[in-house]
Amino acid sequence: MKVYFLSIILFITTALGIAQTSGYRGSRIAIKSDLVQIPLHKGFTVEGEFVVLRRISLTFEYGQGSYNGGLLSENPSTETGEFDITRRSFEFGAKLYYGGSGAFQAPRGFYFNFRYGFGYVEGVGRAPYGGAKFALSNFPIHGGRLGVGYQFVFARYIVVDPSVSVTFRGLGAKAKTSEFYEFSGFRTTYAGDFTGWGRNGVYDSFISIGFVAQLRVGFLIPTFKKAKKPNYVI
Amino acid sequence: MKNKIFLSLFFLSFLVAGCNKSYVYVQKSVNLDTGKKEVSIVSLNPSYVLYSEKKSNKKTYETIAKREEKFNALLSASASQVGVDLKIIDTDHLTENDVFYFERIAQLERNIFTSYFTQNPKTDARSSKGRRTYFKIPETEMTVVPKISSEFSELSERYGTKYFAVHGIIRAIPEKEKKWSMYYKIVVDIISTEIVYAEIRKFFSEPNADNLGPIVYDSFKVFKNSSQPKKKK
Repeated sequence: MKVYFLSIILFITTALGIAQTSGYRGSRIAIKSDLVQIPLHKGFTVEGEFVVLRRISLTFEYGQGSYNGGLLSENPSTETGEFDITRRSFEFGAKLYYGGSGAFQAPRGFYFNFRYGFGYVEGVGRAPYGGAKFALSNFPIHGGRLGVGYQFVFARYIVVDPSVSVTFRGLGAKAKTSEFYEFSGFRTTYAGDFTGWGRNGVYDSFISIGFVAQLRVGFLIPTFKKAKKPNYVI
Repeated sequence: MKNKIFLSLFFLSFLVAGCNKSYVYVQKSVNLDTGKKEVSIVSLNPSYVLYSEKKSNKKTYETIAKREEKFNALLSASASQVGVDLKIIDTDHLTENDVFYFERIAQLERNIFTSYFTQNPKTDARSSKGRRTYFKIPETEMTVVPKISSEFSELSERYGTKYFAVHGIIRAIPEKEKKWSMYYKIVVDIISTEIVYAEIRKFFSEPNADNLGPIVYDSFKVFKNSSQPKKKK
């Protein structure tokens, strides 16, 4: 019911706004990939951004990769175990472009970013102190993030989108994989990975906070309306 | 860990350095309504003006002329993509026999500028509530609009439209203050003699194609949406 209601609001908003929206010289869709992911997480992300209002765009991102994840002990003084994890994740979000009553509009400029993501991980790991081996299969993960960024457009179609975000892994991200260990899940696109902070957060409050820096690069899908040369008259 | 912190700070500084303030101001007449889906405009001598207080930044006439050509190309490309038929009258493309420009067009251009800046348009404050631009561009509605001389109305037959406009770029390079650029557009209806649309957009970056392109495109889009036929009650 919630999804149905949300979809109607989204559709009406889009329909109202799209007629007023210019995008970047008519281009409203951008396809991007995070360059930081390739070396750090042995994976990739693909993000689609769709401008729906003058200063609001919606984003959808699919990512997959593998990394060395953490198993969290219920006792903070003990060593944490390790997990080799493969994850697939989906993120939905909105970008709110900022700048007062600026001359520029989405998808170019400074923005605030709100995202929610979910995904699944699979992996094999070991508990602390050479403990028992664990296996995860289709283990659900959830998370959200708040961030800021600045999207540049070069040579009309090239998009460069650096951003930094604070990530939250709430209760949905936490689940027991055994009697003693918990898995902290949503590390989809971490680059600047302050997990030490996050891990303590998870243990203390079951809400972890992390930090992400990303550099997405991609292109704008061009409009196919033909541009005319100047028609000089006298 | 140090590398990751450095990487994050590098991105953050990149963001802060790239932040760009700007503003847009649009005035429309209540009478702006073509009654047609296709809008045609004649642009009068689009100009690129450079003010520089730096001695080392003296641009030659050729440099400015090239920038004007690029600006003309940008105007035409954006107008055609939005669906506005744009004709340009440019002094750089005149021949020795084109005395018509000096007899009529130059006077019209001067008349538009003097009317707009001497007869300050009165606007309805209620039409500019807030500064929200998520749906629409912030705009004010002119209730008392500047008027030009009625002697130019016969030009509508020659060019097939009643809308004539002046477009321009001002690039200012002060010695001590921040550099800024301004795009302006003033549209006049030569039949009703009213200035029906005026727009100023100021931004603090170079007026090259990457920065100016979306502004000019959006400018034509806003104008075209404004001039769509209104539903009769």
